[in-house]
Parts: sequence; C-alpha cells; structure tokens
Amino acid sequence: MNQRIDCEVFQDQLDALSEAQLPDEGMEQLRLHAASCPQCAMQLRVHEHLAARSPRDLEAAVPDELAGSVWPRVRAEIATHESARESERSRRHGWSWLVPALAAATVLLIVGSGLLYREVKQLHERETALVHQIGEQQRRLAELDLRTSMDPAARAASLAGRTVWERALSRRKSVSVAELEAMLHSVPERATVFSAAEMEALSESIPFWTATAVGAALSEIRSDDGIQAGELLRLVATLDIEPGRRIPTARILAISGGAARLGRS
Amino acid sequence: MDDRELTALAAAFQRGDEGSFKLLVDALTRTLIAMAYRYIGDWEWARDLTQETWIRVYDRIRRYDPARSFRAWVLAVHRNGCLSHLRRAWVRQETTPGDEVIKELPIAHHGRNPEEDLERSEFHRRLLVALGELSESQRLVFVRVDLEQEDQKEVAQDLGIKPATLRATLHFARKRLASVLRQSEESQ
Ligand SMILES: [Zn+2]
Repeated sequence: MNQRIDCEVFQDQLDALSEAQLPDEGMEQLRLHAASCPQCAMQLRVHEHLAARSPRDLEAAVPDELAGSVWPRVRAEIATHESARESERSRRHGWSWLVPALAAATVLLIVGSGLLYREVKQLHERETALVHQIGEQQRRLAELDLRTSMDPAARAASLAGRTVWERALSRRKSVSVAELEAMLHSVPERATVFSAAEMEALSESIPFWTATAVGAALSEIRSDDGIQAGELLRLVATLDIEPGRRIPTARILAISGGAARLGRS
Repeated sequence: MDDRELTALAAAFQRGDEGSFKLLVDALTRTLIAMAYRYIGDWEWARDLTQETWIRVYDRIRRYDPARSFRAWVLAVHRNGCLSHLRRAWVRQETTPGDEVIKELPIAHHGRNPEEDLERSEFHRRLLVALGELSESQRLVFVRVDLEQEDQKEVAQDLGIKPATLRATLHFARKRLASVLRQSEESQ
C-alpha cells in the first residue's frame, strides 16, 4: 500500500536512492510525491540527470585518443616552462614576511570567519578557540623574528611598520576588507607572507575551512616555501566576500597580539 | 593501481624520480577526465582541465603530504580546477549583460538520440549556472555527493564535519538548486 509522504521524507528517500538503498515501494512514494510537488519534482530531475551515468561507466567511456593526448601535452608544457619556473623559485627567498604575515593572517581570518558566520552555528566557541590559537601563532612569530638573520635596520623597520599599522588600526573602530587587501597589495607579489608551518597551523585551526573553497585552495597552496602575497590575494579574490564588509579593529588587534602590546587586553 | 601504490609513486616523484610522474599520469588521467566531464559536460574541456591539473601537480608536488592519500589530493586539486573554471564563467555572467558567457560552457552530445541529448545538454548548462547560486560549502557538498557521487559518510569524514551537518547542508543545496532551476524554467 502506498502512503503519502511529505517533502522532508522525500529528502530522506532521495538520500536512500542516491545510495541505492531505496526499495521499490519507496520509489513509488517518491514519484507520487513528485507528481504533486514541483519543487521536489525538480530535485528528482536533477538527481536522475546526474545519476544517468555512474562515474565508473563514464570512466570507461573516455575516448582513448583523448586520454592518450594528455601525457604528450603535459610533457611539452613542462619542458617549455621548466626554465622559467627555476628562476621564479630562486627569486622567492629572502623577504621579510613579518608585517605582511600579520595582514595576511587578518585577511585569511576574516575570510574564514565570514564563511563561518554564514554557515556554522557554533561560531562563537570556534572563534574563541581560533583567536587563542592565532595569538599563540603570533607569539611564535615574534620569537621567530628575533631569531631571523634579518639585518638590524630591516628588523627595526619591520617592527616599526607593524606598530604603525597597529596604532593606525587602534584609532579606528572598524576597517574594510578592501583596505586590508590593500595591505597585501602593498607588498611585493612574490614576498612570502606565511611559512609552510604557519599555513598548516592556520588551516588546521579552522576545521570547517576544509568544507569551503578556502580549504580546497589552502590544501593546494600548502608549500615548503610557504605562501606568497600574490597567491594569497588570488585566493581571496576567488571568494565571494564583500569588499566593503567592515571588521571591528578590536578583533584584528586581538588576533595580531597588538592589543596586548598597546596595553588594551 | 591501488591507493597505496599511487601514494608510493607520488613519494618517489617527490624525491625527484620523474619517471614516477608519468606512471601517475597514466594511472589517473581517465579518472580525471571523467570527473571533469561530470562537471563541464564536454570531453575537450575535460581533457584541457585534466592537463592543467597535472601541470599543477608537477609544480606543487613538494606541497603534497605523503602521509595522506595521493589520489584524494589530486582529486581535490582537480575539483578546485573544475570549480575555478565554472567560477570564471559565473563571475563574467554577473558582470556582463545577457547570457553570452555562460554559453561558453559547452555540452557534448552522446549521439544516441540528438533531441534527447540536446535537452540533457541544455539542462546540464542550466544546472551549472544554478550551481553558482549556492554558498561555497553548499556547493562543495553538492558536487561531491550528487555530482561526483561520493559516499556521504566518506565526504563528511574528509571534510571534518558530522554526517548530520553534511546531510543538512546537502538538503539545503538541493532545495536551493531546485528553486533556481524552476525560476530559470519559468523565465524562459
Ligand atoms: Zn515536496
């Protein structure tokens, strides 16, 4: 006997159908509901459209000459660009990344937490944990700075730059994402803004990032040489974040550790 | 070739054995082309995206962590490439009037029944446009479960979210897509 089902049950049965675990009777109910509900009918249509060919069938259907053409093309492209790549690698090193790292951390954090705001209910706990972890990061960053081989004048300039930036921020209640991105634009494209370990720590501190384009992009740019300013900007550009979105500066300062140094905990 | 063999090859390539790279390309190219085809619906595009993915893998092999599955890493790189390709079309559609740009997403025909193929192609094209209306996480969950047809539990585990969270996100994504598709149908 066929029972009428509602839209919620339809959803569950669609899941069962996707996993090939829906009995015939369930299929009947699904169709019966779809016949009287245009919204669910469209979902069923999407499902049937996508399920028409299994990944396995499709893989078998890849034309041989197409699959065979990939390696020669890849090999040719690698050969063409190898020399260019080499010189690029050698130019990467030697940049002071401390100030840009702070800007980058901020942009990443805002982008990440922007997504969290929209999509995760347990935002508050996570953010608290996050701010704590970023604080730890910044302490380690500061330690690292003392151990770098940067010449004293450059280090002083770098620290002064950070202080100036933090003081400028502390005078304002909020700052826009576009303004923060401008900070990244102000450093050379190839400057390394994050070491590999910092990237790792940052991405692991926000598990839900893995469920977003940020996570996918982060996993791609994870690197032995860290991430460059240009790469980070391109990452930010791929996200649908409002450039005019304003962020309370108190939050940024808490992240960068600047609040503590400026005597406002 | 199983996951462990692929990962061993990738580790060898990472240590500088270029021959292993060719073996990886041979082993996974069909999988990647088929996956891109599911996204874009066109064999030539699927091949080009696969080529781009291999170049990216070659450039970034040092960033790969051999403690994790190479196959999963390559699929993530490839998925990102496919989505970036779509994202460029979405962005251009938003910034230019008319429907021109989205027509740059071509759909191949299977040749069995031309009329049915055309309808499938048109529906796929509209589906890709509608995909642009989802949030990043809804989209990622939808493409992995419904488009790539991965197992829900495995995707949840990979993303580090609870299966219930994944299911709720998936249901939202399906409803939103259906709404956008119905609107686009009405406006025709
Ligand atoms: Zn319904």
